Amino acid sequence: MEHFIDALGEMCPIPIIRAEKMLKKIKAGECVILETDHSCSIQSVTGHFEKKLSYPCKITEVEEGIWQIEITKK
Amino acid sequence: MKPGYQGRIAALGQAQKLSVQVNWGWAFLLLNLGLIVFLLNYATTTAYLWFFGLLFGFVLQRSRFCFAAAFRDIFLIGNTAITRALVIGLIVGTCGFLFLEILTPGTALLASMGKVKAVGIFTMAGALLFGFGMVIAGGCATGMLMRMGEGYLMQWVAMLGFLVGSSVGAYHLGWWMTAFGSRAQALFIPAIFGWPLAIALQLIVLGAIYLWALGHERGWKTTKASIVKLAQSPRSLVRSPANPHPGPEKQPKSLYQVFFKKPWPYVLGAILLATLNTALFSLWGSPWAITSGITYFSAWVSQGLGLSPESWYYFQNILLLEAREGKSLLADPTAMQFLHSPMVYHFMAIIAGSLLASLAAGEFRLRKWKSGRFVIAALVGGFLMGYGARLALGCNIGAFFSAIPSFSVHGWVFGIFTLLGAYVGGKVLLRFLVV
Repeated sequence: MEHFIDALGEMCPIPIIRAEKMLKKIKAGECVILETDHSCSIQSVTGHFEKKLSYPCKITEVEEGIWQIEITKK
Repeated sequence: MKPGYQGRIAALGQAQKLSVQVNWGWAFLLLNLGLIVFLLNYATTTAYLWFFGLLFGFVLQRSRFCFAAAFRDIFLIGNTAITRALVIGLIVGTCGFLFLEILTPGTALLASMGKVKAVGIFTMAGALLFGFGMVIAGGCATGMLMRMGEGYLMQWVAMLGFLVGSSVGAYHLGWWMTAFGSRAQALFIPAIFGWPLAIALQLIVLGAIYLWALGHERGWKTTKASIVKLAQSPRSLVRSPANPHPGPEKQPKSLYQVFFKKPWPYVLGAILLATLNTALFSLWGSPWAITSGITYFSAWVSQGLGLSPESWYYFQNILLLEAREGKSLLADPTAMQFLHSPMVYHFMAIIAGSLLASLAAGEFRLRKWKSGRFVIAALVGGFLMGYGARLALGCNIGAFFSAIPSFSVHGWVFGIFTLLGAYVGGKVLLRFLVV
């Protein structure tokens, strides 16, 4: 199951905090899709969840300057 | 629940192609190079500072190097990736500045031309406000410039606040410097301890902060284990560990992808910024600084509005004092023609450099804020940053990233109080901006 977070127009570290909250609520194997236009996020979000929690992340640039980051809870 | 989500995926195919923005990037690069060549004949220093501004802006955007995050994320998300990169940047900067000191024996380069400035209550108050402001404004002084170049409207609002704040700070500085009865004095660490002890102390403290940050993020057990592992095989530092998630998307990346599209590692950003800072110091005679340029620009606007910034404390005392010491950033300081300072164009060039990097990556867009709360946060945060930076005699660059490698006590005081301000700012951010 996918959980969507619309973080457009929000600056760091708000997208990370919101993703963290959502990831706590969902079950293992489910994923959060975070949509952000904050260019720093694509590095900081993946760095945070992959390195710290070992949750795999996948980035897709859906439009110029808008990314969706898929974080899967393990 | 999923606004615009399914629709956007359909556009995915397009985004994989080379963006048309890259062409605009080339055009903008040519425009900038033309400007630099033109300026070389009329205003050489401005030409150099424009060139360096472009480089700084480009590196900042590519590596997403965010000084605000280095302070803020320690508390807010327990992540110290940028903090550790910043510490490495400070170590590289320290070595770079020391190298310049050795290259020019007998000139006391750092003590006379480095960012060694007065320290006092004003430094603490200024840094506290600056640290608080940068968290709610979504970026420090450089972060704000970088994001302005990327098209974040929120940071344009923050700049408005910064301009007003730096003028009010320039006016108020006198009260802060005299109200507490302390005589403001610059403290140069090697003058207190001697060079060998000063260098050793600085490197040990920076190393200790690095280890503390690592332990704070990963836990002390893991950190200890990785230090032991590093001691046994130092080569593991150079070799990157095996990717724990070898996905199917691991195709070889083109040169364009690696240099212009993928974010650079934070550490690379930090090393490049510190190296550029050293190069700027060596060529221009003064280390990297941002806030002075913004203050001059703000003073020029004030003159246009019929005010007389020449009489404000900062311009009467600090600026003229620096001029007497040969450190003036204005060709003719007494004339107070603020747009004559090349520093004004340097901060603008950082915005241009970031725009260039953003276009090259094909990720520029005008980004609106989420809600009115973010506009207020940007205005207030920008104002406090501008005001605080003026009190502290510099921002995260002049009073920190250039001050610590200059062995000035005010850089350390600025860092500590910015950290405290960022902690409070984080609390406010959680309370009012995370919904």
